[in-house]
Amino acid sequence: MAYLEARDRRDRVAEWVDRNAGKVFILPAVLTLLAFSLFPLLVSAYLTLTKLKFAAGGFTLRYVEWLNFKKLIFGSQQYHLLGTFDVFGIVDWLILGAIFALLLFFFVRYLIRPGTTVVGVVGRSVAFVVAGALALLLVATLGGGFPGSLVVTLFYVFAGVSVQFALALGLAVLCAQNIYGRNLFRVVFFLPIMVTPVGIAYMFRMLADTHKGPFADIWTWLGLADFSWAADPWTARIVVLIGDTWQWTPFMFIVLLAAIENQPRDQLEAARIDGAGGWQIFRDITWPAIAPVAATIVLIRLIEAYKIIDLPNVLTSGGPGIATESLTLHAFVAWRTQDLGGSAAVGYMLLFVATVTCLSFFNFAGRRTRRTEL
Amino acid sequence: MNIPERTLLRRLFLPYDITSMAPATKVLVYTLLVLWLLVVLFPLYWLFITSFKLPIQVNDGPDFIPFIDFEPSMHAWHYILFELGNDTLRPYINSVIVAFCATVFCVLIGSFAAYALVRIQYRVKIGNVLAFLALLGLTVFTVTSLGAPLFAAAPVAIILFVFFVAAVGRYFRRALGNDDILFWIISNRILPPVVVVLPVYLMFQRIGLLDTHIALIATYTAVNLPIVVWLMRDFFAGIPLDLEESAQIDGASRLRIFFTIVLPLARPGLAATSLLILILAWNEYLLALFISTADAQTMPMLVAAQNATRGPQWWYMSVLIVIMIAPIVLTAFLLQRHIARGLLVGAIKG
Amino acid sequence: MRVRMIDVRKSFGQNEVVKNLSLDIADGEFLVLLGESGCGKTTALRMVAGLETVSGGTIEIGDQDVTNVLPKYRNVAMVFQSYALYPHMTVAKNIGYPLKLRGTPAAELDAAVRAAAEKVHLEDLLHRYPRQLSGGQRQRVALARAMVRTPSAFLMDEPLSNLDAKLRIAMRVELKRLQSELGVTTIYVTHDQVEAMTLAHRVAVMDEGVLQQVAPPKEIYDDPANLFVARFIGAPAMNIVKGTVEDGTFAVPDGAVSLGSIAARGDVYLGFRPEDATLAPADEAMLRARIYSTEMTGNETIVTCEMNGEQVVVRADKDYEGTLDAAVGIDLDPGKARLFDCDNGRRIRR
Repeated sequence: MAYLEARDRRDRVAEWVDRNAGKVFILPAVLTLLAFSLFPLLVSAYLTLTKLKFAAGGFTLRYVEWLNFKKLIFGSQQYHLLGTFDVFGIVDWLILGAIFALLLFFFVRYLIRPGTTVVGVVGRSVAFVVAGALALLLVATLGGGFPGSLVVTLFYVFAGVSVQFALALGLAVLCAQNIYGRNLFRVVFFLPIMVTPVGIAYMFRMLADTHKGPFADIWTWLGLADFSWAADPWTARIVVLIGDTWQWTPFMFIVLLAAIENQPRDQLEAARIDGAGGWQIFRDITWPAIAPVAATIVLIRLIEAYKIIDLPNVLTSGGPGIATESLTLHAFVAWRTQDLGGSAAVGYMLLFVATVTCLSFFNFAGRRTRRTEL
Repeated sequence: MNIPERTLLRRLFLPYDITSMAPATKVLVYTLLVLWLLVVLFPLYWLFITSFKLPIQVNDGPDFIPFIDFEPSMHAWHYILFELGNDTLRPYINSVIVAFCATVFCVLIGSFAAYALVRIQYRVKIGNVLAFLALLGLTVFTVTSLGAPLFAAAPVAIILFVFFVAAVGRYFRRALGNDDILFWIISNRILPPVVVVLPVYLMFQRIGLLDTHIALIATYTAVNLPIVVWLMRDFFAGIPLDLEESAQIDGASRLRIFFTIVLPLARPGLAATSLLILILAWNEYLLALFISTADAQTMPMLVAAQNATRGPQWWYMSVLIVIMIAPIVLTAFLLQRHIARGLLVGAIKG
Repeated sequence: MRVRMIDVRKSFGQNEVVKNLSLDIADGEFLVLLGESGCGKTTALRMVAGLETVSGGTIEIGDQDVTNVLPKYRNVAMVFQSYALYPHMTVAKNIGYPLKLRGTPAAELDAAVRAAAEKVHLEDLLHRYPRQLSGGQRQRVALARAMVRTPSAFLMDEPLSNLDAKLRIAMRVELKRLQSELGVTTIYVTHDQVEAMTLAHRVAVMDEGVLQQVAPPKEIYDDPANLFVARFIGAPAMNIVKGTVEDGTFAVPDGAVSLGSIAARGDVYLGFRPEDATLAPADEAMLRARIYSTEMTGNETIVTCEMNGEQVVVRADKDYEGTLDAAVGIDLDPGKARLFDCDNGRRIRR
C-alpha cells in the first residue's frame, strides 16, 4: 500500500485538518462569540462601575463603584428606570399580599415535595424573588404613579407576546382548515415579518394620524379628530404594541401552522371516530401535539421582545416624556447624553431581567410540554 | 344507531360530510381570515399609494383609490431616486453589502459549528473554561483600570492560559459535552445587543474600524450566529450517518464531506436559515445606530433619519420604505416554502 | 488483500461489545460474520473500515498495521444496509464518487463507471437519481460504487436485508459470482444463516462479542464447536436432548442410543439434525415420543414430536401421515449425533 507511506507535505496538512476536524469546525464560531459576545460582556460589566467620557482621540475612565446602579435604582434616574411610586393604599397591599402568598405557596410546595434539588431551590429562589420584586414595582407604579422603562418593557414583552400568541394560534387553527385560498392567506400573512421595523413605525404613524390618515373620517365622526394619541401615555404605548403585534404575529403564525399541519393524521382520524368535536379535538389532540413548538416559539419571542427599540424610538421617540421608552431605548438615550456608564448599567438590568424570565420560562414550560411526547 | 334528522338548523351547524365544514363555521372562518388579510394588507397598500401622492393630496386628508380619488404622481420617486441620487444609493448599497456578507459568513460559520456539534463528540474541561474566564477577566481589568496596553496584556494572558492547560489541565475530570456547548452558543441570543454594543463600539474605535462595512458585518455575524446553529443543527442531524461514513470510506476528508454531501443535502434548511438571517441583517437598527454614523450608514438609518431632518414627509418616506421592502419580499417569495419547514424543524427539536 | 484482526477489543463505556476477536482472512476469501443482532459483528466490521476506534488489539490490511489509520487511507469499499446512496447525485455520479475523490481524470473515470455499471446491469440507468430507482436497483448502485475501484477489501453490512425475498436470492447468486470474478477479499455481515452458508468460503459465528467458531459452511453445519453454533445453524434447528452417558450408551427416560466406546460421564446434551433421524414404530425404536404437530412443506413433512416435555423435530417423507398425539418412535444415526458438555456447552469429541 504505497499510498500509506507516500504522503507528501500537503497530504499531511490535510490529514492534520481531518484528524482535528472537531477544532477546525467549531473554532470560527467560538472565536466570533468570544470576541463579540463574551469579551464585550465582561468589559461592559466593568464599564457599569465607571464613568466613561469620550476625549480627543479616545476616552477616559473613572472608577465610581456602584454609583451608576445607585443612581438608577435609588437616585436621580430612579424615575426613568423604575418609575415614580405611588403611596400604597389598602387595595395595593391586598394585591401584593395575594401575589406574595401565591409565590410562597409554590415555593413551599416545591420544597416539601419529593425530588427537590439544590439547583431547583436556587433557581426557584431567584425566579420568585425577581417575580416578587417586579410585582412590587408594578403595583407601585401602575396604580397611581408613573411607570419607568423597566415596567414599560415588561408591558411590551408580556402583553405583546400574549396577544401575538393568541392571534397567531387562532389564525393558524383557521388556516389549517380545509379552505380555498389557503396558500394565499399563508403568503400574505407572512408579509409583515419582512418589513423593516423602522418602516412599520412610520407606517403606523401615518395610519394613526387623525387628520391625514385613512381613518380621519372615523376619528371626526367619533369626535376625536383633535385627540392626540401620542400625547397620552397609554394610547401611545398601545400604538407601539399594535405595531409590534402587526410585525411579529406572522412569525408565530407560520410556525404554529406548520406544527398543526404536521401532527399525525391518524390521531385526528381516531379522535373523529371516537366522536370528538372540533373543540375537543383541538384541546385533546392538537394542543398537546403542538405544545412543545408553542413553548419554543414563545421563548424565542420573549427573548427577542426584550430587545425592542425601533418602534418606540421612531413612533413616539419614547414620548410622551418617557412613557413609551423601552430599556434598550433608555440605554440609548443615556448613551446619547454621554452617560456611558449609566447606559451599560441599564443594559445589565435588561440582561438580568431577560435572563431570569427566559430561563424560568424555559425550565417551567419546556419540561411541562414535553411530558406528552412519545 | 341514532342518526339525527337534518333539520334546517342542523344543516347550518353540522358539516355536510367529514371533509367539509358546516356552513356557519365556514362563514365564520372566512370572515376572520379575510379580516386579518385586510389588517395585513391595508397598511402596506396605504404605504404604496402614499408613495404616489403629492404633498397636497396627503395633507388634504385621506384619498384611497388611485385615478379615482387622486391622480398618482411619480414626483416622490423621482426625487428620491434621481434628485437625491447618491444619498439614497449609498446607504442602499451599504445595506446590500452588509446584509449579504453577514448572511454568508453567519450561515457558513454557524453551519460549521452546528455540523460539528451533531457529529463530533466534544469534551471541554470545566477547569480550563474557568481558567480561561478568569484570565479574560483579569486581562480586562488590567487593561481598563491599570492602563496596561492590550497588545501586551493579551499575549501574556494567552501564554498563561496555554501553560495552565498544559500543566494542570489533565488533572480535571469534570467536562462539558456537546449539549453544554450548544446551550452556551444559543444562550448568547438572550444577550440584548445594547449590553455589548458599548465595548464593541470602543473596540472598533480603537482599531479604527468604526463606521465601516467590516464592523457591521462582523457584529451582525456574531449576533445572528446562535440562530444559525440552532436551526441548522436539526437539519444536519436528519442526514443519515451512513452517507457520511460511506463517503469517508470512499476517501473523502471531513471538509470534503461537509461541502459535497452534507451541505447539498441540507439545502432546504440553508435556504430558510439564510432568508431569516438576511431579513434580520437587512432590517437591523440598534447596532447600526451605534456603529455606523455616516459612511457605512444603512437603510434603516436613512429611513429613521427622515423624521429628524425634514419632519414627516410621508410621500418620500413611503418611497424609501417600499424600495427597502421590495428585495426582501422578492427573495422571500422565491423561498417561502422552505422557511416554514425550516423554522418548524428547529422549533420541534428545540 | 489479506485482512487480519489480532486480539481486537471494543468497549462502549462499561459495555464490551467485541471481546478478543482474532480473525485471519486470506486474500480473495469470502468471510461471513454471522450472529444475532447486537452480537458485535457490525462493530467488528466497522473497526476494519475505520469507522470505529479500536479499544485494544491490532488490525492489519495486507501486512500493514492500519489500527489508527483514517478510513480513507485504508482503501476499503463498504456497502451499507441502507445503501447510503447520495440522494443529490445521479447514479453515474454516485458510482464515480470514490474515483473523483482520488482525482481520477474524467475520461478514465467515465470508463470505470461504465464498466462497473455494466457488471451489475445498470448501464441504462446512469442518469437517474436514487429516488427514481427500485430497491434492487439501488442495491446494485451501491455494489457498483464499491467495485468501481480496486479496494483492498469489500466490507458488506447486511447488504441484502432490505430486499424482498425473491430479489434477495437473485442478488445472492449475483454477488457470489461477482466476488469470485473479482477475487477481492470480502467481509460480509449478516444475521441470515442461509446467506452465510450459501455465500461464504468460511463462516465466523459470533455471540455476545465472542467468536464461537470459524470454519467452512459444511464444517460449521456438520461439526459445530459448541451448543450455540449447533442451535444457531440449520432450519429447523438441531435437536438437543438432555441425558446421561453410561456404558457407551446415551440414556433418557424414554429410551437410549448406543454410541459405541465412550467414557461414562454425568449429564450431557445430545444433538442431532432433523434429517439424521427417522420415524419408526414406537416399540422398536431407540427413542419413544408422541406426535405434537405435522407440517407439510411440499417436498417433505416436518414432524414435531414431544419427548419427555422436550420438542424434537424430524424430517419425514412428504407422504408421511401421522395423527396428533399418536405414539411414535425415533431412530437416529449414532455416527452423526453430537455430544455437548452440560456446563460450558463445548463439544465432547469421541
